Amino acid sequence: MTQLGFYVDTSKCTGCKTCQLSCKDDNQLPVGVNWRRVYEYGGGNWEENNDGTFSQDVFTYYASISCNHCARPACTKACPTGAMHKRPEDGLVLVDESVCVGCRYCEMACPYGAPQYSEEKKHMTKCDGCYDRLAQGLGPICVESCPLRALEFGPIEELRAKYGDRANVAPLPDPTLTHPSVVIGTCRHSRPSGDTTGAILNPTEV
Amino acid sequence: MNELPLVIFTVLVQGAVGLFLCLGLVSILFPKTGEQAMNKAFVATMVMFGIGATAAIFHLGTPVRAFNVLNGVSHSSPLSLEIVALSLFGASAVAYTGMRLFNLQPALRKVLLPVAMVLGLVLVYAIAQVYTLSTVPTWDSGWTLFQFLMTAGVIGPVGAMTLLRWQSASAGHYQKMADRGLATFGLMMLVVAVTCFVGFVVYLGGLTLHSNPLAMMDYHSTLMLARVALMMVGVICAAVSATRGNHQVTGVAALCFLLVVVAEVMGRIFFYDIHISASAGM
Repeated sequence: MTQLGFYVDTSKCTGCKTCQLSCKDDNQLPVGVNWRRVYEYGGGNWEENNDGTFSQDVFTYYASISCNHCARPACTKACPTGAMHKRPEDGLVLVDESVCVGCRYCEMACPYGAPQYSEEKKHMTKCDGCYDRLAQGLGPICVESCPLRALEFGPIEELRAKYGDRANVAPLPDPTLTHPSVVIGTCRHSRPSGDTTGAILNPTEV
Repeated sequence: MNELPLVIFTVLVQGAVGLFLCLGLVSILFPKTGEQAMNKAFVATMVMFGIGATAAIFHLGTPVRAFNVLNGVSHSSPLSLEIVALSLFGASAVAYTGMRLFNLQPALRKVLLPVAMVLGLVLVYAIAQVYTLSTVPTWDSGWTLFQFLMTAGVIGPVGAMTLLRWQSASAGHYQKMADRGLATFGLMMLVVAVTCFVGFVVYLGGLTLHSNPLAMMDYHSTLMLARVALMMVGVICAAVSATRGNHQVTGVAALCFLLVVVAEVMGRIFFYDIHISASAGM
C-alpha cells in the first residue's frame, strides 16, 4: 500500500483560507462543517529588557489541516460500525455513509477534529482526499487551489523524503498518538506540540 | 449539549447496575425479605435500566441503523464492546427478574443472580473504557472508571432503600435491617466518592493542556458545588432517616434518590464538558 498524505508548509501559508472554501464548495459542505480548517496559532507578550524598556515577542502562523489519514487512526479504532475505515489501496480514511449511525464517537476520539457530523445527512462526514478527483488524475481541490503553493499531496514517504518528518508542531497533538500521514513545514515561529505559550486564535472560524 | 442523551444513558444505566447490585445483596443476605416486595423492586430497577438504554438511541443521528454498532466487535471498538456488555447485563438481569416474578427455576436463579451482578460491574467497566481515550487527556485515566463506579455506588443504595420502603408493607421485618445496611453502604460510598473527588480535581489541575479544564464554563464551579452538596444531602438524609427507624417512610427516601440522581447528572454534564483533546483545541 502506498499511503497518501499531505504536506503543509506553515512558512508559506498566509491564512487566506482558499483551501478551506474550495473544499467547502467542491464538496457542498453545509454551514458548520469544514473538512479543511485553517488554524491561526499565535501568542506572545511584552518582555522587559535590561534597560527597563519593553519589546514584544508576538508570533502567529497558520496551519491548514484536514484529515491526516493517520497510520493508526483513533477514529477507525473507535468506530463501532466499521463505517470509518482505511482504504486498503492508498490508506485514505473514509466514512462509508451507508453504514455510519452518526454516534459521533470518532469525533470524540480524533484529536485533529477531522470527522464532522452533518445535521443534514445525520451521519459523519470527513475529508476523503478527493479520491474522485484522484481517479481523474487531478489533485485534491485544496492543494490545487492554494495560491501560495503551501499544500502538497502524494505518497507520504515521498513527501517525508523531500521535507522531513515533522508533525509535532502546535496546535497539532503529539504525532505518536495516531501516526498522522502529514508533514508540517515549519516556520521561524513554529512551536512544538503541547506548547502552552500560544493558542488557536480563530476558534469560532474552525 | 449534544451529549445529553449520553448523560442520561450513563447515569441511569450505571445507577440501575448499582440498584441491581444492592437488591442482589439484600436478596442474598436477607433471603427472607418478602418475595413480592423484592420482585417489584427488581422490576422497577429494570424499568430504570430500560429508560437509560433507550436514551442512548437518541444520541444516534441515524437510529434505524442502530444494529450496525455491533460490527465493531471485530476490531474491539470500545463502543461496540459497551453495547455487548449492555446486552449481556440486560439479558441476564431481565431473565433473573422474570424468573423471580414467575417463580421459575429457584436453583438456577441462585447462580444467575451473582452472574448478573458481575456482568453489571463488567458493564460499568466497559462504559468507562469507551471514554478512556489516549487522545483525550482529561478522560484518559482511572478517574473515568472511578466516577462511573461511584454513580452506581451512590445511586444504588439510596434507590434500593426507596424501592424497599415503597414495598415495606409486604417486605417483612428484614426490610428494617436491609434499610440500615443500605444506608451504611451508601454512607461508605459517599465518603469514597467525595474524598476521591479531590484526587480527580487535583489530577485535572496537574495536566498540561491548552485550556484549563476547571475553567471551561462559567457555571462549572456552581455546578460542582451543587453536585457535591446534593449528593451529600441525599445520602446523609436517607441514612439519618434509616438510623431514626423511619424505614417505612418512602417520601424521604424518594426525595433523597431524586437528589443523588440529579447530582450525578450534574457530575456527568461536567464530565462531558471537559472533553479536551490532546491537540491545542482543534
